[in-house]
Amino acid sequence: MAFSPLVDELVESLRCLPGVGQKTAQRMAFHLLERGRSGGDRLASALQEAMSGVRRCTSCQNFADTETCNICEDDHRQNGILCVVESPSDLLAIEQAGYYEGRYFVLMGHLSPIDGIGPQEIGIEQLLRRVTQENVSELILATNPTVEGEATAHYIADRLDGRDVLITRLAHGIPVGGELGYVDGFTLSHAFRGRKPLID
Amino acid sequence: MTDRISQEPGYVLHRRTYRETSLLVDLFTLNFGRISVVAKGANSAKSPLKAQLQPFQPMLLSWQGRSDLKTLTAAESRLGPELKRTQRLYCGLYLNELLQRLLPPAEPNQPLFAHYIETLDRLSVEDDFEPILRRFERAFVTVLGYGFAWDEVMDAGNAPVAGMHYYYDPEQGVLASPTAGSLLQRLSGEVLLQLGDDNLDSLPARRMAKRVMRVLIDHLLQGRPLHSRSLFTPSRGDHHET
Repeated sequence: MAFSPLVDELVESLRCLPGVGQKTAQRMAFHLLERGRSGGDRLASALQEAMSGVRRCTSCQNFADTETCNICEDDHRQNGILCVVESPSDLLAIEQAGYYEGRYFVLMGHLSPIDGIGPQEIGIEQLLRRVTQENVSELILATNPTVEGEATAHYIADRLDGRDVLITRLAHGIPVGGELGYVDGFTLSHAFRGRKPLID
Repeated sequence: MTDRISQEPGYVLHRRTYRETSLLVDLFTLNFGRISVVAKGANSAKSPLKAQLQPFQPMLLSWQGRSDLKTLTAAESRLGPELKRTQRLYCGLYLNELLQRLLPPAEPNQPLFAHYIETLDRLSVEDDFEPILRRFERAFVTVLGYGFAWDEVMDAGNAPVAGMHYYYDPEQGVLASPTAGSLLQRLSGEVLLQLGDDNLDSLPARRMAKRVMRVLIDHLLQGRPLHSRSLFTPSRGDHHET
């Protein structure tokens, strides 16, 4: 169905968003044109600014507006502890939990040979350089508990073999408030292997 | 073709996100070969499928659909071999990448499937990975129609002779004289005879098997890269390279 070229172009462009198909894109476009002109303007300028202004932090690879991101600049954060995560959303989850006060390194992916992602694509060399330069004493490997996440964690640990760095991995186990009956067998067996003395 | 398959033995080769909450999963199965299925809702926070659909775990899978892309309806898994340490994990990823890149889709091959299971089992317990990988590669290239005998010189029609040197052409096998397609030369007859006896104990035998397999697999890949190779960095001083 052809509208004016401008509308068609808008609908087509909206489809680049995840989870947005033809129908949703049309609904969004019509909404913006009919009732949300000011929102549309704001979206347009925000998109434009973000696309030209947001880059990767030179220190942790996370998205940043400046050369280095807020977390890397923050003097109150603990130096010497580095947490390696796969994506900015993982970093956000950890930040929201509020427990961790060290610094981060965002891989922006995981090792996945079938997808063509090797050590170079996720910035392993930069991570290793940072570990040396900042005298990191503990490296927390918070990659996802998938085969690729494990491979990534093992690869990093392997590359740091022989260096004086404590390498830790997040525990896998039963979610707080969960019921054992609903936990899958893999998680349960991990939880068993990772059990701890009750009073320590 | 049948629409509904149930309880088919298989393994996950690879998975990636599909739409918001689903996973697109590539499987290697006993009776249907390499196929792709959509696991609907498997990428949502609550789905137990996300934990189950992991590579290297033996599974019983059910799916339906007529098209190339089928819909997964059920998956049961039991704990399989664990590829815990680094090198084992890399080897496993290497096997999966080989299958994913080179095995034609929907062509079942039961002996190869059996070999895959055995290879995973052995990788999880044995420490000497190289012969295990080489044997899998041989079984694999044989399925693809590129099998050859180490101890048979194709153009001369006899066995290699110790002290002589030979050529290797991926399309023909071991040769006494060079051809347009021969990619390796100066292969020692003595070592070829060792490999003919499936003897991968000596370093020269391992080196030759690795070189020949690498050349053959590169020939089959036709210039496409095999990324899992980059995981085996030689800087760490081991010889378990692929």
